Amino acid sequence: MIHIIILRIRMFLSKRIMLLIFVLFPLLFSFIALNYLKTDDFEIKTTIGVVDADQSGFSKNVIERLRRDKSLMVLIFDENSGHEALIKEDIIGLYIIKEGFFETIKKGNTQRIIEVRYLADNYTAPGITDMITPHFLLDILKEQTMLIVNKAEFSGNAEMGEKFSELFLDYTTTYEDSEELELQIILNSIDSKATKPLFNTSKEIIIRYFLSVILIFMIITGFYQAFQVNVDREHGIIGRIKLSKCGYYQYVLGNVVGIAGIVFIISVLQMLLLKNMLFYQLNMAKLVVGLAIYSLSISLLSLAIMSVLKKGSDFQLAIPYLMIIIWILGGWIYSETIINSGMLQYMGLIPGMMIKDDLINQFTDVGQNIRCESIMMEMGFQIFLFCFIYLKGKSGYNKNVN
Amino acid sequence: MVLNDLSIQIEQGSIAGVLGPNSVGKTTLLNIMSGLVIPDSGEVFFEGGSVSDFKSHIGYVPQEIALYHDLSVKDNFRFFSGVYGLNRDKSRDRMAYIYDIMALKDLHRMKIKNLSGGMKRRVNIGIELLKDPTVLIMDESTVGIDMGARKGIIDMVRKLNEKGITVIFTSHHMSELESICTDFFFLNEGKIVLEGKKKAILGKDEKKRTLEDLYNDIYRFFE
Repeated sequence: MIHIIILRIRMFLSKRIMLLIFVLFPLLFSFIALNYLKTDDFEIKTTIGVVDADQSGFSKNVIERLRRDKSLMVLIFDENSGHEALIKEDIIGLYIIKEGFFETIKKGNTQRIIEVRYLADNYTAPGITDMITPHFLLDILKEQTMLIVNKAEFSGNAEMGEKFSELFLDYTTTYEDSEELELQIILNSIDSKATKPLFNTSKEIIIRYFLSVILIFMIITGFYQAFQVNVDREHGIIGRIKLSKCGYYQYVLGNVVGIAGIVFIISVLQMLLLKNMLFYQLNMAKLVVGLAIYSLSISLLSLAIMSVLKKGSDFQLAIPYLMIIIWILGGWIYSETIINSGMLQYMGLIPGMMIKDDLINQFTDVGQNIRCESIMMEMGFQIFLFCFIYLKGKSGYNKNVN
Repeated sequence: MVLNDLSIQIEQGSIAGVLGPNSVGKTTLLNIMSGLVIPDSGEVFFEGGSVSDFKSHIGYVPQEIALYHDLSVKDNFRFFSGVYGLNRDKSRDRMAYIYDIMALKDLHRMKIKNLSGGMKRRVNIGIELLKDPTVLIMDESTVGIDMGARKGIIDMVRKLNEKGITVIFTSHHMSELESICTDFFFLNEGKIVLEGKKKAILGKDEKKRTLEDLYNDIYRFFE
């Protein structure tokens, strides 16, 4: 088996065009893209509209905090002009601080005091709420903490109450997960006939797009290595291998591991580049595990498709169409917006596609783990595909090797 | 049915020529003899035992150039040494020996795709010699190369036979079969229609005929 693995890697390295297309070009692409992503000028601000129906000192404080967020462009509207701006897509979401906002908080209630309006076909806006919430929450928690402290201990001593509250401010972040302080936001989607691009991009969307391209490169690499395996059949080499000490099981496993190894090595090189140039927070250990699983899935998927199509020329022809299908069904960026159907989500169960989200999240969410369910699903697919490849090829291998 | 009620016995140390027009079953017969293909019925014996137990003693040189064209001669030898189960020392020794008898020394760094047809054929044969085979089965191993290169290969086959290797050979070139083979087996529609030693089949002195004449006579009969 080890000889088959070394063979696949050696064959990959022996072709300069392979090295150019599958190693050098993607690394160059990443290098250029990362240099662009690194610049401050790149920072795209997400434009939101805010309606301050409360007009309290508290609500003004919150809006001031939002303005200081470098990733946001905050425009102040009244409700009607804000709604118009939303329809014209000058803003991605309209955040309405309702009348009575501060009074409601003082009473200890944080429910339904903010409304977010967004266009139905813009899936980014509800997500941006996660960026907005901490700005509201911090002041709400501060206010709540002061109320709790005041009520509990310092009802007769305002000065002491104020001093003690300042101490408590440091601990407000620990209350973020507390249910009684949960900020429940009203979400309202509005139908529209958008003609502009479907979403405004924040830096995270650009990064996801860039990472998706890198992972797609890996799939193409895997496909072309599987195509190389077909050479064994077409050139009669299978006969020689059959008459060797290398059993069929070892041959199949050697091909799987060989192709996975090539994809894995190239993807690790990519990730090292990404870590060193921009994504300093990356946990390489988690990433390596995820990439190993992804590479194995891609290898098995490639060989399975090759075993169905049999002819190398057919497989070559099919590769662009396979890539389109994988892009549309595999849950990549844009695909959910293009196809939003319950039935199609089952067709999206393509090997490699479960773990890819976990891989991308490693870059955008510090501390995120590779989910066990993704690993289990991928392993399930891998076992199925291996059995398929083994059984599909075995009868032909035994009976007639040509 | 490709082969039908066929029995064949190859004498140790001989060079057996298997002849017949296209699609009579020559390649299938050779595939079965090598253990590459399992027949629907019947058995293949090698030195008294089943051929499947002696795969490592049988070298099979296919008609195609069964090599990795993007790898060098050396890398091809290294790979097949590995899958044939040779350790590093044995592999090195065998490769040195094969380079010598097949005149491949100057080619060992060249990629297969950059070799001429004759050179590719030599490497194709050389790979099977890694096994140190007792029997070498060669299925049209001289197809598509010029006369000079063919003569070189025939000379090598003769040398290998002199070292004790039994050779089973198919070709459409009657002259090379006649020059090298000691025994002949004529196939038609999956059966052996004529077999025998060279002298007996071709005759001698004034009754001697060429293999080509004999071939034409036989197959004209079956048309």
